[in-house]
Order: sequence, then C-alpha cells, then structure tokens
Amino acid sequence: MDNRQRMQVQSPPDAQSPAPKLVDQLSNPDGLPIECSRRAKTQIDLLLLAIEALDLGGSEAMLASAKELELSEIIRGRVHLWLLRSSNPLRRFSQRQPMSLEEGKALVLITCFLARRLTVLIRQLLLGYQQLSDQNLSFDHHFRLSDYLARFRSHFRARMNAKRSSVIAYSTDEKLNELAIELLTKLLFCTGTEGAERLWISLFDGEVS
Amino acid sequence: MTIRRQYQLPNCSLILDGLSIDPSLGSENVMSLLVNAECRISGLERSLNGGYNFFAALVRAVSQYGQEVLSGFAHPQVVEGEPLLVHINPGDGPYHHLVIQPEIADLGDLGDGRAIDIKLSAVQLFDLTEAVDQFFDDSQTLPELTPALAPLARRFVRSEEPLSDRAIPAVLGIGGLVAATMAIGLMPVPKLREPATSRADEAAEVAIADPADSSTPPTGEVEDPAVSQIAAAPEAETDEVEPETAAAEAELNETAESEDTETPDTETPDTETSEAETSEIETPEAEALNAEASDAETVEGEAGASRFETNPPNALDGFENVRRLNSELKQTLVDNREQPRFGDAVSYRVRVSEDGTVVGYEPADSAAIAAIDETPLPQLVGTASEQAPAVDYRVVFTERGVVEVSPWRGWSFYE
Repeated sequence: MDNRQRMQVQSPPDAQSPAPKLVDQLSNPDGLPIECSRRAKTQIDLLLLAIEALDLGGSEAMLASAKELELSEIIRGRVHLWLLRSSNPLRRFSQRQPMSLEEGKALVLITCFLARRLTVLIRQLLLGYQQLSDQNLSFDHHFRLSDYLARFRSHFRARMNAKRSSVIAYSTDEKLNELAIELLTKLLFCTGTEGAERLWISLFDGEVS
Repeated sequence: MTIRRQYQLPNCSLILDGLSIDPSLGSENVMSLLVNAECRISGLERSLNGGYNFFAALVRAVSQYGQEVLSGFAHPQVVEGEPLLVHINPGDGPYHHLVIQPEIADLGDLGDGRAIDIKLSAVQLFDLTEAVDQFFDDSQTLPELTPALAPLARRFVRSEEPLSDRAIPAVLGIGGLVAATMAIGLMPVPKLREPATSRADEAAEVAIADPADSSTPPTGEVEDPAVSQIAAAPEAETDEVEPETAAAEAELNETAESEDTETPDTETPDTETSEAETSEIETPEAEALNAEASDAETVEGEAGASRFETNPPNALDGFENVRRLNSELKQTLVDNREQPRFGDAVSYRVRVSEDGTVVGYEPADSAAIAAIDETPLPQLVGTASEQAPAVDYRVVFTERGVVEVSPWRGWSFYE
C-alpha cells in the first residue's frame, strides 16, 4: 500500500502505474472486438437506468463508486460518465462515440458494485413480482415495486429516442414494465460471486466469431 | 478421507460428499472424487440426488443458463454430441424450468420414468446459480469442473434487430440500383460511327431517340439550351474519344441554321429509314439523314451560353493551380449563396478561367436544371477570353446543403 502511494506521488502525469487494476480481473476472451458493441452500450446504460430507478441517488452513487473502486482514471468524472452512457444508441441525444473495452469493464464493475448494495431490495421486488403474477394482481398492490416501475418508465421515456424502432417496441406501460423486470432479474445475477464476469461476458454474446 | 462441502443460499443449497484420493501434501483437502451430490431447493419436498454425471450436467446447465438470463441468447447447455440430461428452459412470467432426465438423478420411489420438471422462480434460479458459482470458486472441490464462461459465437445468434432496421440497407441498395438504371436509361444511346455499311441502322436509332428529346416543346431561351444539354452532354464526351466526330459536326453546323426545324427533321428520317433499311445501296442518303438528325441537337445546344462541347480550349495545367482554383471556386460559391440549399443533390460542370472567373456552367441532369436558380451559379458567370486557360470542375450541392467542388477530370489527372 505504502509502495503504491509513493509511486503515485512520484509520477503523477504518467498513468503507467504497474499496480494491478480492478478492471483486469475481468477476462478478455478470444475474438473480443476492439471496442464495446452497440448492444453492450445499450445493456450497460439500461442496467444503470434500472439502478437509478431503484435508488434515488443512483447517478451520484455511480460517481462515488467509481472513486471507491479506484476507477477514476477510466471514468473521468461526471461528464465522461454521461458521455459514455450517451453512447447508448437508443438515447435521445445519443453520442456516436466509441466505448473502449476498459471503459466497458469499469461500467460493468460499477453496475455490479451498486447492484450488490441493492441486493435486498432487488430480491424483495422480484419476490413481490412473482407473488403478484401468481395471483394475477396488478403491480399497484406492491408499493415499492410499482414505485420502481413508474420511475423506470419515466426515466426511459425521458431519455430514449421515441422515434427509433427499438424504442417504439416499448411504447406501452406493459412493455416497459416487462423490460424493467427483465433488467431487475439481470441486476440480481450481477450481485453474485461471478456477477461482474458473467455480465461482462454476456455483453459479447453473438459478437465473437 | 471423506469430505463434505456445502454451498448454502436462502433458496438453494448444494451438498457434496466425496473423497480425497491424492494423499500428497497440499492436496489432501481437495475433493477429487464425488460420491453423492445433493441439491435442495426451497419449496421442493425432496432433494435431488445424484452422482458425478448428474452434478457435472447440473452445474454446466445452470452456469450456461445464467448467461442466457443476462444476454437473452440461448446458450448450449450440453457439450455437443452428449445427451441432454439436465436442462433449464425459460417459462412464463418470472419462472424457469429445470428439467432433469430420470436416468441421471436418484429419485427414490417417486421416479415414474418421466423427466422431472422443477419450476424455479427468478430468485430461486439465482440462488442455484450462485451456489454453483461458489462451488466453481472453490478450488478445493472437484477442480476439474470449471464454469467455462465465454461469449456466444456469432453463428449461435440470430439477429435481434427488427426486420425494418435490417431491411433499410438492402432497400437503399436496390433503390440506388434502380435509380442508377433509370438515370442511364434517360441518356440517349451513344452514337457509334462505323464504316458506311452500318450507317443505315444508325440513322434509324437516332430517329427513334430524338422524338423523345423533342417532346418538351421549346418555350423560351432559358429552358431551351438546358433541355438540349441533356442530349448534348454525352456528345461532348464522345468528342474526346473520337476527334473525327468533332470535325464532322463542325461541317454539319454550317448546313443547318434554323432551330425550329427540329421536329420535322427528326420525323423525316423515320419514314425514310425504312427505305434505307430495305436498300442498303442508298448509303449516301442515309448519311445525310444522320447528319440532319444530329444537327438539330448541336445547333440548339450552341444557343446556350453555358454549355461546353469539349474540354476548355486551353486547359490549365498544374496541380497547384487546379487546387487553388478549386478552393477559390468553393469559397466564391459559399460566399455568394443566399442560404444553404437543401434537398436532392444536384451537380454542375463549371468552367473556371485562370483568374478565377466562372466562364460557364452546365447542369448534369434535369434536376440540376430545375434547381439552377437556387444556386449562385447564374449570377457568377463572367466574361473571359475564350482562349484563356481554364479548368472544368464538378460542383455538387449536396442534400445537406454542402457545396462540394472537385476537378471534372479528377485529381489524379493533374498529379
């Protein structure tokens, strides 16, 4: 620890510190593209959107966790995070900017870190959803669940470009609720021991030859 | 030494009983032989029991299905060529189905020969996956079983993009081809000059092509030359290839003077062509007809001040000069337009003399003719000596309002 601190002080401009980075714990399978695909960018942004719908301070928590996980070198502040999330092609103000594998990994780690913190809530909501659908009841019977769904719908509608055909597919409340539940399930899988690796690998399904 | 390993989660627990068969130091605690694997799932009356095959198939299916939940793409849950003993399928709503073939698991008395189908909720499935992941993470237990997480190869995935999105490139491509075909169809058939014997056929061709051109009646001085330019443009190109055509045409220009004779001119050959076709001996006459027919075009074209028959009389040379004039012309066009022009792209051939004066321009097609007043070109035409060195440029007003200028003969010509 001492050693690393001293090194950082000695060579501030050179980011070439040999200290192992957290992002390196995620694997680089063979045949990985050189940058994150459209689907990867979309998935990451949607999962983060679901986290924001779960946790009111979600967007602040993303920045805080980037610091906590020592990812500030990769996620350089609020604007950079916004730019990366805006690379989601479904966004209203989508930025046609690439997302490097390292940036993708950092966002995956942040997603899983935040999901793990929300484990209890995620499990409660999924359990509630299961009980309500068993009894054919509407989501309004579960306050936290309907709260999450409503917040997700409004986040989604405010930020996604309603003219894109892949967004039009979610034009109804029902479709958006389905998407919100699907993302909740994915977040649950992110909370596991291998959550980050699983999410990271899943982003490239169908992208390798 | 018997070893028991447990991986416990709220809704699911895996209990492994096995032996360590390697007594060497450091590995005496490694479970390398599995005697019994027990999988308890909350809400299920009895636990699932089985040997190594059951456990290996279970962890593989669970691990692969976890990826399916995350990406939405089905992962193969069994090594190719092996029987599907344990399998998980997506079910309705929040449920998934864990299907286990009877021969692999020890079902006790309840076994009735049918596969068992266990309905798992999302949370139960996750707990099962997490138990499996914790097992994989434990290097002291059956280390030969690994999660083998890998992205799905492209061949396993069918495109998720909606048909409409995927169809757009194809539609654009086919549309472009159709548009190009139509554009080519609009151009008159190029005239081919061959020895006297084939001239009769050629006259017939011209006669057919011309009435189409003359279908737009001449209305005024502005439009007239423009219409004829369409027909004349390819002529200018053939001139480059066959210098003798230019000479022939120059001759013809003297014979025909009036513009209005176009229609009668073109119709006469039509009737006489049949004669020409029947009797090949009458070649001289056919030649005369041909001359008359092509006359009508040339003469009318001459009337337009802004039309080029050939390349500039004195072509300006030198890459630097051409480049300088290129940027000057672009700047002039940008400075003189009232506002950027949007809509379909139109292109013009513009001749610029050495000192930067626009000597003339020639629309590339009918759209360009129609749009001429939306461009600054007409007001830019100035006078310059005909013998002054000049260069031709291709000026395109693109659909997004951008002015593009490039040498007519391409940059490579001047390099």
